[in-house]
Amino acid sequence: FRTGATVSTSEPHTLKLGHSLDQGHPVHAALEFMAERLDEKSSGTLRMEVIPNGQLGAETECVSLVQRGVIAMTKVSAAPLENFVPEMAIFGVPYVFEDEQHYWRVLESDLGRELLLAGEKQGLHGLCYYDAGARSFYTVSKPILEPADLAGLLIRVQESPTSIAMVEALGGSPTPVDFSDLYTNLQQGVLDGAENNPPSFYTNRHYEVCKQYSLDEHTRTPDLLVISQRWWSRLNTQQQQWLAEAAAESAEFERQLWKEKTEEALTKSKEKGVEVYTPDLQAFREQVKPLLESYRGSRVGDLIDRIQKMADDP
Amino acid sequence: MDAQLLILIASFVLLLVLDVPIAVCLGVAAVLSLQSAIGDMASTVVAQRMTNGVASFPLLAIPSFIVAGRLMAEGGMAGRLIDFAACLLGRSTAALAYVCTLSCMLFGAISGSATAAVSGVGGMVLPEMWRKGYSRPFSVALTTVSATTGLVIPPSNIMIVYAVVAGNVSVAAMFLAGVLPGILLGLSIIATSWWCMPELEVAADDQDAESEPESIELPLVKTTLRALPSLLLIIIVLAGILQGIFSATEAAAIAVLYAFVLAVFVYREVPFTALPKILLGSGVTTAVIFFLIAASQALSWVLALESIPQMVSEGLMNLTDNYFLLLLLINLTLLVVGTFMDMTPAVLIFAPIFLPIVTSLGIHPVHFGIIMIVNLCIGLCTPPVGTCLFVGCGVGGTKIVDLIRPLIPYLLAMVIALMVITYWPELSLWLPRLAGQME
Amino acid sequence: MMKVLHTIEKLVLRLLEWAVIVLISALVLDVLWQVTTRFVLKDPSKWTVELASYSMAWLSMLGTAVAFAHREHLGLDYFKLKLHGDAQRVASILSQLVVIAFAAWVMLGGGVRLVSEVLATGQSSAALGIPMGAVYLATPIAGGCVVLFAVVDLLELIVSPVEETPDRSPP
Ligand code: NA
Ligand code: NA
Repeated sequence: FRTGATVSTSEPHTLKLGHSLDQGHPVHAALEFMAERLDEKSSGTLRMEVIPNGQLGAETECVSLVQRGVIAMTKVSAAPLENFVPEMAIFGVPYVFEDEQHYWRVLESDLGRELLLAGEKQGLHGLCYYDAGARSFYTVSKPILEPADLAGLLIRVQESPTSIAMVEALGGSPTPVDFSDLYTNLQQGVLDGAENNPPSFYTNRHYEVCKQYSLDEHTRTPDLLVISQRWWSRLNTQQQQWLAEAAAESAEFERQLWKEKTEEALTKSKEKGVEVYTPDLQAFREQVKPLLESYRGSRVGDLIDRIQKMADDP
Repeated sequence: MDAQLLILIASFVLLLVLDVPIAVCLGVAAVLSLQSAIGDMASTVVAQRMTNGVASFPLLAIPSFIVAGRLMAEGGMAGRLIDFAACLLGRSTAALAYVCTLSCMLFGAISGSATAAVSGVGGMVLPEMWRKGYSRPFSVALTTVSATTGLVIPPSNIMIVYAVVAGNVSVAAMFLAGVLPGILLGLSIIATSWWCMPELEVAADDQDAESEPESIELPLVKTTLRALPSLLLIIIVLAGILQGIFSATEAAAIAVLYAFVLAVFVYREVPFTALPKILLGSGVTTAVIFFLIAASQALSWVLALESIPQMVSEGLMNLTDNYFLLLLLINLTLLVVGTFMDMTPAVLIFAPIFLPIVTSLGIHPVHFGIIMIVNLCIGLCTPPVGTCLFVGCGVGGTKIVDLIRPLIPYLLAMVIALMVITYWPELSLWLPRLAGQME
Repeated sequence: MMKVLHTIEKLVLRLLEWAVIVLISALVLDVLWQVTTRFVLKDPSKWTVELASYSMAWLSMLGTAVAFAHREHLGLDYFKLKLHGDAQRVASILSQLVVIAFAAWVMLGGGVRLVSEVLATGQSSAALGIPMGAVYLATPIAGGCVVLFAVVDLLELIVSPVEETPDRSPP
């Protein structure tokens, strides 16, 4: 028999990548772009096949499959990746980054590369970060202009301990709800709001029910492109280089596309009658200080310190 | 690739003929073709896909709706609904055929599965039909087709399954979209009974004389009042989901609570000691469905890994890009699929294949879901593999072969209804739009 | 020998049946609790969703094993019923062998490897923090039970002189 992780150099190989986004998502476009670039660089000897829409399983299942080398690659948000690579919790800590520039400075630094490879022991080799913007609160009726506005509101969070702690620290009542139930729960007033980036807010049509969007930008949680360590170690240096280059180019491509999508989503949401606010963030930062303090002494606490040292760098 | 596909199809068909449980046929086909693709990790992957395939929160409404359906059938609610239908349509010999269909539709409006209607309604209406001179094959065929309306009229377990695979589709929108097509399906079955009736009445008249004195006229008000609690459940479940009180999963759990109180404390037809048996029966029925879901999830995974969905869509698109022809082609494919595959695996395997094509044609995923479900409802009644048919034969004590003749006019009527539903999107989409469940 | 097997089979089946009853009740109660915490207590529970999903995996798998014992899984007996006497028996034996092979290879074998691999990677669930291996454990346990039930059926098929078509309803 042949095993999934066998790679020889004589014949063309295909790296299969499964992800859970739809074909209209900027990351899918970036992955298709990467497949093209890889094909060109390797003159067709190393190929990538992108299988979208969660056909190969939801995010955590794909990560588990990549870990064991069943499929070669996947795209995963840093939030669910936390269940495999504890360091990823850093991206769920609110206001750990000063602003977008600081965020990218960290991702492109040695620390960013260190985090990308933090999953190697778990069989996950990170190739690049894709921009997933900043997550902000949106609510059915009451705008969130300061942390006190969150008091008593039921806010949907992703099923991760850090997300739950984050909303609790800000004063809201975190409610883990399956994403498939989110729209109806918002519509039915079962939930008061949720938090996500503008493109997700728009493409999932949450603007139909949530008319208040406050750009408080509490977390910046990137998507990671991950290749199975088993597959990676079987590629030769030349192939690894092609892959790394193609990944870097696709990340650049996606960042531009994401910027456009974000602007488009905000403009269109406003056209649909959504009020978009840009609240003063100082009060939010103050509010989460105890949460940030509580990480002191842990692995995540060290990461927070290192990241904050990079805030003032030029 | 071709070798994998060949292994897959050959092993599936061979095992199916051997009377291996369908879920095992699907699982073996998946693991054998995966073994040839990725080697000895295959069994682990299939085990993982099977387990994850059923550990899905939206599917949770299904066991609850099954428990509620059992409690309602055994707790006297089905009987009260039949009385109500009989009161509306009369107790004549001919009317009994319509009563059967209407009862199935009413029962379908409180339960999420068709087999529950076959056993729940069939168990009560069938003896009455035989007494009035209906032939066994005809009455079983009628009950079988009538029961499928319960899958189109909300709530519906298969719609939940569809919403899960389709991804961006809300269960509430699917439920609302099913109301009018479900009624159309029921009416087409009633019309067929009316059209077949002269033939039937001749057979029935001979026996009428002796059985007539037994039929008692029931007063409309009293029957309605007796059926009211059951009818109220329809309102609680549907209005609850649509009017913004709870999700489908929660509505199902509330339906269990309601049916439990009604059956155990109000009607007192279900004693406490009978509960373990009802729960066990529901649990096993759930497991039979979920094992099918699990195995077809494994098979769809293998298909996706080999990019079969993309190949099929491209193949179909190359054949024609005409809206009418393509929908016709898809419907024909699904009718063939439905003859030998159960509804759940068919939805799980074929929805991801067809959805990209139809959405590119501008067909709404909710509308396509209704088309697919109505189409596969026909498959539930066609031999050799038809769940409704199996249960109907069990309840009615008939052989599948005998049912074929009486089934034909009904299946034709269902195909006509399917065509109307396919080419008239507004019939499905008008209600969910009106209720603001979709754009 | 057969007698011992039958006793074991009966014991395991009773155990599984009660597990199914408890699990399906737990599922319904879990969702009702979710509704209560949200509407009455105004403090939505954080673990009901996850608990429900994982109980469902266990319910499906253990219930699957019970359904094998009760012969409730849907199959296509049309062609088999056309066969006569010994041919039908051979078909039944083959069919049981396929079930045993699948349950042993995929559910039991694949399941055990899955559990050990996932336990080794230390993946844990988000809200309850239980190891994912505990969720997947349902599959190999059910697989083992299916093997037991199917082997007993197979032995009966081989031992019993004249085999009628098995009854597809619970005893
Ligand atoms: Na229904
Ligand atoms: Na069929």
